[in-house]
Amino acid sequence: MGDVFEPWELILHHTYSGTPGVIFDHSPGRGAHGVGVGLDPGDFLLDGATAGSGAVRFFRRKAIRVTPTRGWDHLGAFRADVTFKAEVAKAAGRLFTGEQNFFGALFNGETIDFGFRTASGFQRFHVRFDESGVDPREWTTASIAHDGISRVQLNLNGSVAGVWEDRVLQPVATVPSVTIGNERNSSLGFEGLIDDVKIWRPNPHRVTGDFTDRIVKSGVADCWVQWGREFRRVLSDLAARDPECFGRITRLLEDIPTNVLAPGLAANAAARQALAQAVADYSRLWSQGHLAQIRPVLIGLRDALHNNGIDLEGSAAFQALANDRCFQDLVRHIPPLDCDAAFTQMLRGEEA
Amino acid sequence: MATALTTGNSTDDISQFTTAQIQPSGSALVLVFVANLRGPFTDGTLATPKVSGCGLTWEPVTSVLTSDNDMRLTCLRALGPAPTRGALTIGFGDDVQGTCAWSVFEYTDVNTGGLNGAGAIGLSSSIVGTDAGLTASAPPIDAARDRAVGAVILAPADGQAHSVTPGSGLTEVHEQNTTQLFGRSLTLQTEESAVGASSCSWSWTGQIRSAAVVISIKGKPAVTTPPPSTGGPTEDVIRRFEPILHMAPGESFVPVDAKRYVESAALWAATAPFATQTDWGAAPLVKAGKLSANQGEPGKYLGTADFLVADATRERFLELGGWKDAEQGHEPDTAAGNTNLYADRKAIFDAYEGDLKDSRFWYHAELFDTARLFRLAATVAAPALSQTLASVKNPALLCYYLFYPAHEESVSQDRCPNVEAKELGCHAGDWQCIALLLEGDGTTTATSYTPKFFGITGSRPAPVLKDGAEQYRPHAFDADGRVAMKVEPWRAGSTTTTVQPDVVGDHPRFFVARGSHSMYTVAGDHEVTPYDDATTPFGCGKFDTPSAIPPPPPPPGGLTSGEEATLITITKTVIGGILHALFLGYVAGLIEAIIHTSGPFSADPGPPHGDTPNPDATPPTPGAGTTVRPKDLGIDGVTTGFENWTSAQGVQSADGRHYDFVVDRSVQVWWPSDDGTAGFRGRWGQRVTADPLPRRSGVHFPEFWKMFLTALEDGFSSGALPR
Repeated sequence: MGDVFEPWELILHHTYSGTPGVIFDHSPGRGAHGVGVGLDPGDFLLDGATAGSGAVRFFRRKAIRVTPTRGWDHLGAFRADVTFKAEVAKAAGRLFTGEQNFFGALFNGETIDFGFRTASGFQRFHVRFDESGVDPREWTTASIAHDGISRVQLNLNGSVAGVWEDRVLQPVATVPSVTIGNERNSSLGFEGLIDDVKIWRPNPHRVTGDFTDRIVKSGVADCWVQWGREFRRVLSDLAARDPECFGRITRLLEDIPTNVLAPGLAANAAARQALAQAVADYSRLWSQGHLAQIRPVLIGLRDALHNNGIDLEGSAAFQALANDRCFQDLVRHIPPLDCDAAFTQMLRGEEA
Repeated sequence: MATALTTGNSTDDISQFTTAQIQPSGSALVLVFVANLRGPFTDGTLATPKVSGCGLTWEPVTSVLTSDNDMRLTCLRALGPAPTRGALTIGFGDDVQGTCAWSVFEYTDVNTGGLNGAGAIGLSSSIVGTDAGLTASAPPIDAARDRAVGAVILAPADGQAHSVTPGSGLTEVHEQNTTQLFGRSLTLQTEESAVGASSCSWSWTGQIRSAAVVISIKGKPAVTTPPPSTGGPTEDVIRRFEPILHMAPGESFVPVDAKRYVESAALWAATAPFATQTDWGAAPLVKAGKLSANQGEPGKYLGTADFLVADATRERFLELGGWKDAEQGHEPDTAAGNTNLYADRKAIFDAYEGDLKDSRFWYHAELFDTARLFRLAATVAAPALSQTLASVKNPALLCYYLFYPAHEESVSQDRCPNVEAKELGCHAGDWQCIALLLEGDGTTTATSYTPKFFGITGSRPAPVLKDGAEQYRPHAFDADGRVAMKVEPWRAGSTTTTVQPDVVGDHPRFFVARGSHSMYTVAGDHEVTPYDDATTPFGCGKFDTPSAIPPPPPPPGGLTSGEEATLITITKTVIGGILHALFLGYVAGLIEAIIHTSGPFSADPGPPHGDTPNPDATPPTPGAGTTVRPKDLGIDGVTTGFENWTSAQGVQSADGRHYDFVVDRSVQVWWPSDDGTAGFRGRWGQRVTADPLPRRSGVHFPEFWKMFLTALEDGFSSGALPR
């Protein structure tokens, strides 16, 4: 098998080393081929950061426009690598722009700046190249990661250049287009070369695969096949009764980490530590099939967050979900799950 | 038998080496094996040699590095009508080598087809080791004519010379041993087998880092005559490159006339969400055997507007043979109580043993001329395929369409006996394609075209290891992700690819995998990776995707709905809800959603494991199963089991039907039109239930031209294909 089920799913990979003028997406889903704007074949260089790799020279109004398709339907969190080289002193310009939602840029040749949209505008994260010992007029790789809740990390040439955990963030929303080497309206052309661009999202198939893998290993596949089909039917019926319901439930679910958890984590290091520990414990126990030991982890996390001022359960966001008519409709109709005792006991407890 | 020309070595730290003077024979295959040892104070990938001299053009055949990447063995070939006498120059650009050794010899009794000896090169393989011997194989295509030639290099750490002993039945051609004071030594040995042997082997004393290559050298073939001219340039070029298919032993389905299939099938109308019998209606629009594919022929004309409907909410599908349930019970229709879980392939097989038998061994062919090809490529904005196409002069794309009445594809055959694993990807109606990108001289005669690249469809092969990373060879899937087109250079060997495909005259030979009908240029079993993250099955095929909740029907355009990202959180939360543990269910779902993003650059605790696709099994040797060939063509290595292609123009049946093998989309309504707005755009096999992807329902006819050009650009931009 190839590289499948990585935690992050590569959804854009440009190398600019093919036919001049052809922007080919090498990500597995190939959902992010690009179109050159104002570029001519002479702007495509045979060599970039490494021999044999290509590069594109931007400047002024030149850009690559991507209208993503497969794999871009839900982002949430976000990772990007971009390899570039400034060609003038105090170079400026956008490295990439996800319309309305994120960007990476170089400004005045001294700082690299990443921004993500939040409710109040853009949260920006920048570092000075000289503080990291990096010369942007040499080939440089910047790597940015946003966990969708509260943490942003920036690496330059593989070394950590900045970590931010005290900002209130929002999940990265889906974007209708991505522009490389410029702003969407071509007003901030990057004054240099871009060699390689990669963008990832959290791999949704990894999450579902982890869930199903435990089912298969536990020998309860037949049970879940039937339950899954029934649940799909219930979801379809729900959509038929009210086409807005599924989206509404999804939105309410996502409001809880955005409106309650993220602000709490930004303000409290102990809460961040508790969550990180719970995630690690859960991951280990789930993969080992020790579901009975997960319940204390869940209860412990609930209590630790509560003790650090984050009351998820009592929050308006959670109550909005719990009392939502669509959600209650869904809970009312879902079939009973009575053939996977380990899973149900994980949630209900041994006493039930 | 090899004729030795020269051998030698040099331990000078230089980047260019010169052999003694030689005089190669006219029309002889000349092979040069070069061993080079990394020079002092150098790093990076060890250089590959280039050879010049004797008025010949030298092309790489294969190359291999020792496991420490410090020593390389390369084979180059040349063949010309009148080589000149002279020395060969072995150059490494600006890269200084520590040591270089060479062995040069020739064969006069070889296949002289192709450029610069390409026709004389068969299969090849390489191997690296650290033990006291090596064996590698390159089976002959024709055991009566072909022989194996091999070379080995040793990179001992002790600086001493180590002599090499040829394996049993093998004859040494040359052996070079170099030693250096305070330097590493190098051994190069070359040897050949008798005609018919398939491997080379070597042994020596002590455990030594080593690498070897073995190449099958193809003997002079039986004389073939080009097919007679038919009078039409399109038909002539189709006949010129008409393929040879080596089917696997036990194969149930062979390429058939798609028009006869249409005429025998029933046509059904389905409405969104297409998932169950309710969506297909109680009876077909047209009963089996009542369709006509040409206007004026017996039956209801497929070109009727209502029969060609294809949009987001309406679909048409052909059905032949009916359905079956999980216990293999036949279900002829969608009557109440029927499961309609799988296409009944036994019924399809029986039809092709009966009334449809004479429609077998048929292909359809289509020649996209330059203007049409550019017009189609221009419809793809990203990637800009018209610019990809511009790298070929007067390009034309020749497509051979192969329609198999059914497809078989299973998973985890070694541990999953259940029906879901066996039937996982089986369906009625299977389209495959052989495509040749031709360079023309501006005229349209059959002889004016030179193949530059070829494409063959099937499962996506497993990735190969390159520079420590897994990498797929150039490929592109169809819009539904069901079949992949794999593109390679036409008979131009390189350091990473062998000369392929093998040909008889201009007819390429392909090996067809049993059931899946994936095509390969090499016989035997092939590992495959047909699925991506979104479509990998789990639990012995019981789950079609990684999700325990079947996905919803894909929205128009084949994109995912986006719900998968939140589905597990919802699942855990609602189960928590019915267990009166709503909040804990939610927290469990929340953790699951963030578990993999919490450490963006940290190590992965280990991925889940989906089902393993069964390998593609092509015939172990060319003649092991049926061989489908151009009429009465003699084929090396095959003496029995021949079937001639029956494809032809202007075939008339007794009941007044007309059959052509040349595709003409303007009048043959079963093909989609170029703009995708007309023609039959439905499925070529029955819909089945419980098939969310879908994977077991019939396929749409793929846009093979687009797959080919996309795969070509994939190869250009990854560096796997030469531009």
